[in-house]
Amino acid sequence: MSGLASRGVAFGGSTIRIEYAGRLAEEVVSFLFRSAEPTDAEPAQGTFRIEHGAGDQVLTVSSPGGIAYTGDDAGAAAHALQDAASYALSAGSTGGLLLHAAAVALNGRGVVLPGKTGSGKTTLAAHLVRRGYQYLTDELVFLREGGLAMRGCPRPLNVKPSGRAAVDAEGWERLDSPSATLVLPPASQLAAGVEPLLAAVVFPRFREGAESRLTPLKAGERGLRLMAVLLNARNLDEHGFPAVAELARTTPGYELIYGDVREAGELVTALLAGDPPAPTA
Amino acid sequence: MSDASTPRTVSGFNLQQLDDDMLLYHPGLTKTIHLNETASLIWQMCDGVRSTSDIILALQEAFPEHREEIPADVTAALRKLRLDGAIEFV
Repeated sequence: MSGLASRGVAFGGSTIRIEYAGRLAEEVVSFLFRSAEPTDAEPAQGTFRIEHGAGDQVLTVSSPGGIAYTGDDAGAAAHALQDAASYALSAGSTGGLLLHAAAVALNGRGVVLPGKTGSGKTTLAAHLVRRGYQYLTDELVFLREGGLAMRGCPRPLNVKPSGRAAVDAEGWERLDSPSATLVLPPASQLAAGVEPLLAAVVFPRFREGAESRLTPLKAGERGLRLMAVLLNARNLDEHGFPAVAELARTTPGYELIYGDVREAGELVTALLAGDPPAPTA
Repeated sequence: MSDASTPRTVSGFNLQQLDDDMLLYHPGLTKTIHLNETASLIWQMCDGVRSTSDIILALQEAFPEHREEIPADVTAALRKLRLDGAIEFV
């Protein structure tokens, strides 16, 4: 197809290329990759394409693995492209630890919020950004080998229907689809190109009706949980095990069970302000 | 599993000591296991030579103040270590 524009995207030692054609496709790409690190490097993890046909107005998203989406829903197309691109960047990531986690920062100090889908990490991150934190990512955090400087994959937050209230804020761009809402905080709150220093790892777990509490984790528990969210183990020396163990030794970690995101936000803010809960016996 | 059974560690685990605990990682199985202080002590005694009752006796000699609870603790720990894939019985 003629008229294809393209941009390279780099993250965590990995590169992809996005090709796009058509007005709506261009808008989707701008929305998804506005704050991504550009690159002219060869796309080691392949080329992705989104096209908006002039005739029937159908959006098509394709990845190296095949067609990821065809239809007329821009939100669903964006969701499909974001998922495919994130997966590819994860698969090629090297030179540091890539964690499945959200991340935010305040005054140059970062908090990593690892968790599976449904743990409440994205809702908590969105809430903290609304409270003035910088947004790094809702899904992929990269710690370069041997350091605590954090880099987030600056994609729009992928918010489940239950968490939409946390992102209903002025100045946030949003793209809805039947399964999720993608939202982008204002540019002033995006930590593009900024690398805050990791201050704490907080493992959130949303539990309906629970009283919010932050519990310190022993180093062994931190290590176990960090290994479970390490996405690029197969690309690292010894599967990243020594590096994760060192991170567990040097960085405080907590389990955060919460039933109210405002309470959870206050606990995280107190933690960053230097008021951590006492270790359990 | 009986007191006469002999546990031994499954080979291929890499170890990291984290304070009093131990973290085991098996690259082939991509499996991580966290052992608290007691479990790591017992795991390190699983040499394929000592039986379960040998391990119990050794720990009772080392910690006489806990001799009553040690048999049940060791049995439970070995059962958990086997379920986690950290030991096998020979």
